[in-house]
Amino acid sequence: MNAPIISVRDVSVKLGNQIVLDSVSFEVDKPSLILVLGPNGAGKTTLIKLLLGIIKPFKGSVEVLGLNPFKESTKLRSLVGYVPQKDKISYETPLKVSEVVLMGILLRKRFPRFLSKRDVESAKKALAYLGMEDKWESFFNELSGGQQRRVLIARALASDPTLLFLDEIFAGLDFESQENLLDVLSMLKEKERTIILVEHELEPIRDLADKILVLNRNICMYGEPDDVLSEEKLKPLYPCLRTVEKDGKRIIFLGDKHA
Amino acid sequence: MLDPFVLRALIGILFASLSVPISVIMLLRGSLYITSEISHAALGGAALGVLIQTFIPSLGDPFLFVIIFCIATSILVSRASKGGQQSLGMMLSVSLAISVMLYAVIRSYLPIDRRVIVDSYLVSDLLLLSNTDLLNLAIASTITVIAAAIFYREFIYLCFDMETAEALGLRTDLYDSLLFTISAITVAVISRMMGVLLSVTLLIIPAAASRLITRQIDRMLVSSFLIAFLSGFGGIFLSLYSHIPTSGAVALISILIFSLIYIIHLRKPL
Repeated sequence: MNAPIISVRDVSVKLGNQIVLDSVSFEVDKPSLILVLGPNGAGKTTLIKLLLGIIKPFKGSVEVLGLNPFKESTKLRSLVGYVPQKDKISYETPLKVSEVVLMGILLRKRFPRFLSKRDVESAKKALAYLGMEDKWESFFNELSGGQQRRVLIARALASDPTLLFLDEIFAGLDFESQENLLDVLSMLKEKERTIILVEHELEPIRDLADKILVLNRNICMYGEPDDVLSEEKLKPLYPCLRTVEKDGKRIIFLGDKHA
Repeated sequence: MLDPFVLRALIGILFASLSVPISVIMLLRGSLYITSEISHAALGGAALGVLIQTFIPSLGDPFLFVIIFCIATSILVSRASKGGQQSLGMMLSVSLAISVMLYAVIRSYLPIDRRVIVDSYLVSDLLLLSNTDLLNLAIASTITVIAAAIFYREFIYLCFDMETAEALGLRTDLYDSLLFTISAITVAVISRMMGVLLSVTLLIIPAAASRLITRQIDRMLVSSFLIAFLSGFGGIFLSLYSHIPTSGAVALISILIFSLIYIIHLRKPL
C-alpha cells in the first residue's frame, strides 16, 4: 500500500503562547484538490507552514510525500510549490516576470544558484502552460492581479512539483481572472497534482474541490463537499453565512472577512 | 597636480560611493529609513573606540568599534522590526540614547586632542581624511561590494517575497541579518566620510533618486553609485571654491541632484 500524500496525526502548534492548531489530524491519500476553509485566525496559513516544515509542532507527527518535513526539508521543498497571499509580495521590488518565475527554480538550487539554459527553458515552459509566455519581459508589478497570480503559479510549477500549496489565490480577483484560475486548477487536477488551496470563501472553487477541510484551530469538518456543506454544520463557525438559489443551484456565502 | 588632501577626499568619496548601492537593496526591503537611525550608533562606537584606544593603543582604530556598534545595532533593530512598530521604535530610541550618552560622557573625560577624533564622527571634514582612514574605508567598502555581489540574488528574493523564499528553503533570518550587517558597514563608511549628522544624505538620497530614474534594479544600483560619486566630487570642488564645509557641500550637491531628478520625474514619469 502506498504511503499517503499528506498525513497529519494529532498535531498541535503554538505561536508565542497561543495554540494555533490543536490536535489536528487528517490524511490525503490520493492526488486531489483539498479546499481549506476557516474563519480568520483559524490556523489555515499555519497549516501550510506546518506542512512545508517551516513551523514545528510541539505535539504530533507530520508526513508529506512520505517525508518528515522537519528532518528532510531540503528534499521535500524540491517536490512542492507554493503561492503566498498577495499581500506577502513586495510590489515595490521591480522584478521582471522572467526573474519571478526563475526564482522558483533557483531557490531550489544550491548556492551559488547558477542559471542554466535548461532553467530558462523550464521557466518559459511553465509560463507558457499558464498562457503568459508573451509576458516574459514584462514587469511583474505592472500586470493585473489575475496575471500576477498566474505568474506566481507558473513560478510554483516551474520545477514540476507534485504538491502545490496555494494561499488565497482567488482573493480580490474579478470574475474573468477567477475563471482563468479555475481553468488552470482544472488542468493541474488533470495532471494528477495534489493541491492544497486555502481560501476564505467556497465560491468559485466549490465544484472543483475533491475534499473540503474546515479548520478552526482543530479540524471541524473534513470530507467530500456534499457531506461538509450544510448550513447547519457551517453556521456555528460562520454566523454571517447566507445561501442564495441561482439557476437551481444553492450557493453558500460564508461571509468571513479577509485576513 | 592635485593637493594630497583633495586627492584623499576624492579617493574616500569613491570608496564611500561604492558601498552606497546596498542602500538601494535596503530601499527595496522597505528598511532604508533604518540606515539613518543606525548611523547614530556610529557616534557611540566612535566614542568608545577612542576611549579604548586612548588607554590601549594596540587595540586598533576607533573605526573598528564604529563598525561593531553599527552591526550590533543593525542586527538588534532587524530583529526588533519583526516584533512590530512599537518594538522597532523602542529599539531605535534605546540605541540613540545609548550612543548619545556614550558620546557625551566619554567626550567629557577625553583630552582635547582625542575629543577632536570623536567629534569628527559627528561632523566630518572629507579633506582631513588620513591614509589610515582611506585604508579602513577601502577594506570596509570592498567587503560590502563583494558581499552584496555574492548574495545579490538572495537579497532581492528577500525583498520581493520573503515568505516563498522561506518556503523553498532559503534561510531568510540568516540572509536578512547578513543584509543588515552589510548595510551597517555601509553606514559606518558613510558616517566616517560625512559625519553622522550629514550621513543621511548619502545613505538615502542616491537610493531614493535612483528609483526615480529607472525601474530596473541593476540600473538603480549603478545610478545610486553615480549620484553618490557625483555628489561627493561636486561637493569637494564646491567647498574648495566657496566657504561651505566639504560635508555640507556634498550634502548640498546631492540634494540639488535629487531635486533635479525629481522635477524631471514629475514632468516625465517612468
